Amino acid sequence: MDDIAKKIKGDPTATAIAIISRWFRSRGWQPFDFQRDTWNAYLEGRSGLIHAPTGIGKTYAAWFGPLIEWLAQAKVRSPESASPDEAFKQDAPPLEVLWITPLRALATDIHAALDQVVKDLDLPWSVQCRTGDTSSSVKNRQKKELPTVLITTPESLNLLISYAGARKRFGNTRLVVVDEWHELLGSKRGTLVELALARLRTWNLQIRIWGLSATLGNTTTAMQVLLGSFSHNGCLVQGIQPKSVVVESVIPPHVERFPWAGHLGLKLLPQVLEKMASAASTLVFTNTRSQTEIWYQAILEARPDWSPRVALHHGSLDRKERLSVEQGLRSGRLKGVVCTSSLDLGVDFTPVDLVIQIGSPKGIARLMQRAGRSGHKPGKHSHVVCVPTNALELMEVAAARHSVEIGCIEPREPVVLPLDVLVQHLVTVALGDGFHPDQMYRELKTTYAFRNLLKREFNWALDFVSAGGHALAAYPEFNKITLKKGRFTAANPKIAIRHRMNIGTITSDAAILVKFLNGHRLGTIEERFVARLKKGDVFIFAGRLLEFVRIKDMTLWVRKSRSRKGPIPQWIGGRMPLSTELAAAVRDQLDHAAHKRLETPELAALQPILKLQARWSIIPGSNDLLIEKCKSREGHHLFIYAFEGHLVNEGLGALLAYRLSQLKPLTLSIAVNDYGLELLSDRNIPVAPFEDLSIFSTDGLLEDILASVNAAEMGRRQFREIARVAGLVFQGYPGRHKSGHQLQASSSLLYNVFQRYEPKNLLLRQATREVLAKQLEYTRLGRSLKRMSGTTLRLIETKQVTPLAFPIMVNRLRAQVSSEKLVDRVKRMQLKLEKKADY
Amino acid sequence: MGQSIKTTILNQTLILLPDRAMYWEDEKMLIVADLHIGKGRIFRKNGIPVPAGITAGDLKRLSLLIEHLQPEITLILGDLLHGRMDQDDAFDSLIEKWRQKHADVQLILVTGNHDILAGVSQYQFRFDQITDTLVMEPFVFTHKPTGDKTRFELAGHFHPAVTIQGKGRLKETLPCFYFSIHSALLPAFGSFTGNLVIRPTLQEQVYVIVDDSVLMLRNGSQ
Repeated sequence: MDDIAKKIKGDPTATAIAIISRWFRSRGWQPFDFQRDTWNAYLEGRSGLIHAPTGIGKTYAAWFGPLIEWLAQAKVRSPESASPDEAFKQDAPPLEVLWITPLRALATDIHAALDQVVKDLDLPWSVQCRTGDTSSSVKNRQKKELPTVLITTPESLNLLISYAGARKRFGNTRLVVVDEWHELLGSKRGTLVELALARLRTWNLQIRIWGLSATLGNTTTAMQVLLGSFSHNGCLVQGIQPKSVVVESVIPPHVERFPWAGHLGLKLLPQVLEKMASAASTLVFTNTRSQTEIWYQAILEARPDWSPRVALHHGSLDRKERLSVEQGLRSGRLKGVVCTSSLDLGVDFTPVDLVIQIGSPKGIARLMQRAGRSGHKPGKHSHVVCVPTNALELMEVAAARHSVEIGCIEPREPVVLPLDVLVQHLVTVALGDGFHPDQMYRELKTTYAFRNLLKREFNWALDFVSAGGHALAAYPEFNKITLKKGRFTAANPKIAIRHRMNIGTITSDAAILVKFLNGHRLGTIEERFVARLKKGDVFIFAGRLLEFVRIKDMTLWVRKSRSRKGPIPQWIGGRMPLSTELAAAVRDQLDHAAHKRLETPELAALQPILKLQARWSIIPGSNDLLIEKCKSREGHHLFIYAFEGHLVNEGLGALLAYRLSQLKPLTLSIAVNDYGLELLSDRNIPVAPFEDLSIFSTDGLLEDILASVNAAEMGRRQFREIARVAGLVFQGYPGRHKSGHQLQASSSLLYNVFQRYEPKNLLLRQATREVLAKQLEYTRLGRSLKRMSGTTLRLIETKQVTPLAFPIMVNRLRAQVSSEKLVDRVKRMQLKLEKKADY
Repeated sequence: MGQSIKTTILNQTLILLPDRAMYWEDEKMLIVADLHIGKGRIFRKNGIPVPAGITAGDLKRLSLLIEHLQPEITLILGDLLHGRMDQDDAFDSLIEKWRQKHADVQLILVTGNHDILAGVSQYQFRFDQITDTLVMEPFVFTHKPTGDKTRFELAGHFHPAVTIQGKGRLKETLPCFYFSIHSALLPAFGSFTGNLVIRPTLQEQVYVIVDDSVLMLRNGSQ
């Protein structure tokens, strides 16, 4: 204890560490070794990444470094004083610590934890949050002066950078903590953070950056991305080893009667209720917000006696509702909360002793993260009960358990060269203090995402925001950022306002605010859902049955309904794909089943369905490539079980469909799930290229991939996000629908216009590149094709749709590849007519 | 010019053209709706970098139609312009040149909501007539249908499209001419325009535009 303090007696740092150690003792704790290691590394001026499961003191590892340093310097500042306390009698110092968190829900918790320490130590520091939830009066104050410690989200940080004087306000920052870095890494939000960090580093080279992350398959890369070109001096700190995770599943009593597909199934509700009854406090995780609403209703209907002690939590609920639920969990008041990933992260809910996962966990890291929400104390076990909503999910649970046991955790691949984020960032910086192009280029090159940025690409991005994208024939009317005395700054205040409204990379439909007639806010739902409702309709939201009263200015006014049923809103981005690692693990489970090794309770329970699959078709072993061919009223189906995970299967589907369509005029509809893909046509699909495996050839692969991306119009979908991030699609001012009207164009329309008038636009190319990176990564697809051409082909004609095929077939999200003329196709189609006039 | 369709309404012959335009044969009148000229410029002016050349392209398409059909009247059925713009010589001269090229054509504008916002009269089209409703028996031309059932209305405004389906999950959304009992809607002529998917009823007739053809659609429920 206090060995450092003993060694360097009289050293102000040693004294400061002693003060901190005393604080730990007063709480009955002792600093962990990894926390001390982090403090020391911090004091040496180093940056780094701490990885450990949630709830093992990562926060304090990062937090006390700057406190020790400041305390030590305070001591130096007034060495005469008997106690360091005297030195504290002063105004709150300007920004010292910036704390970035991916979820605004976490900001409150972090604030509480950090502020407690500040109060206990009686420091003159001010600790404040700045998120989308922060009131405008506080925001205005923060525009002038930042607190000593600022807790914020990537989007809000970028917003702060977009105000003039940012350099002055952020220039003295000692430490930036990026919390839950694993959650940001691998998304464009992560790129926003990288770019902001590069900015902060330019303003203060001494700044230290520490990431807090769950353990990933690629932790070293995670640190490299965080620190960019400064990562060579980075310090990778491993927290306490993972606690053991127990994965259990609820086995349906009659698997025969269990649905083969779908993800809303309430069949196992009784078992879930039983588990909840035996626990003090339960978190019920679902994969979508709609599912949350459904399970919440079902639980309350079955157990009305739990009524005020069961709640729901998801990202579309109003902040006040969310906060009160989080408070209830912490205090132990709530018996159960049905939630989405909105409660995946950070927040410490010590009273929770049971975690239930409804539906497939979809990923190994995610399952471990959720399991870690129970027994939220170092050294305790975490326990998760998985509740399948369809038969095959049982297999996914068994696969996930095995992966957890052998420690096979997914990596998160960082985003590379997202030009849309770059375009947004250039405007953000121009609005703030402006930038000099050469300095900016050098700064960008220090980030991982843009380390290979070509000068040519940089110049294009610059032209795009300053001249409208045409360096040679600049549009004279174009107006966004302009060059003045060697620096790029905002063209006018109107542009600045609109840009700030759109900072961020999260794509969502226009959100409609839902309010009771008395003004009480419930949350937001997507415009698309509201468009289907009319006055008097009843729907379920925020755990209540609500009646549509009127809609005005992006607000939907509702009252409580006495009716008992209604539709539930869907939110975009609801479906999650299985990770590639988990898909491969499922293939192994099937291989076990094919060889009658039914070791896990899940596989044993699945026996009746596996038998059916074996009778109608076969169960593919890991060296088989199963293809099922069948005919239905819908047309001719081909089911190909590649087991490459959703994203790769999607690319594979486009490629195979494209190659088939080159053989004869054919239109194919492609559906995909994590296991395989379906090709569907109104005409017979030739199978010869499968039989001789020629369709899996890697000859001319690159050309075919590019052609298939175009044929399946995969870029169009990807462009939606790019158009939004690059500021082409204006999301509108909150609560003011009409003002942006003249500037509204859907991303799909813009995609058409660019295709036709500027086909070489780099954002279009980025869309293709992102599809390639995400789905068709050349090497990965090549590897899959090689693997498939080395397998034993099992082409089986089936009379009916098999248990493996069914979930793919019911998928309504489809792509299409055609080698026929549109007009020939249209002649075989018809119009669905309504009985009544529609408008 | 592609494949067009001839249809008869109240003894008048209307030709539906795949260029998203209509030709009233009896009156030698070319009818187009919803050009939204200048939309790209307005976007760029507001810092949204959409490519240039859209307006020029659309005017050229209109020129080709005029040259081919030699109409006596060209009727714009509203939303010729997208919105108000600052004075711009290049834009004015583009329109000036276009008008000179077709100086002998009678140009009539039935104003649409966007035209009113744009303050349409300040531009160089030199219309022969600007009106909010044009009556030419047996038709009434108006930008937005009024629902008047005493006469047959021809209108634009909605940018109508329909979704059609087929076996094998074939599915397409296509712009269309949309005929009800008392009215017909024209597709939007401008190439930088979105569309509104309409779900027709049994009594209505839809003609879709597929590449360079107009097709009459079979009825799904028959």
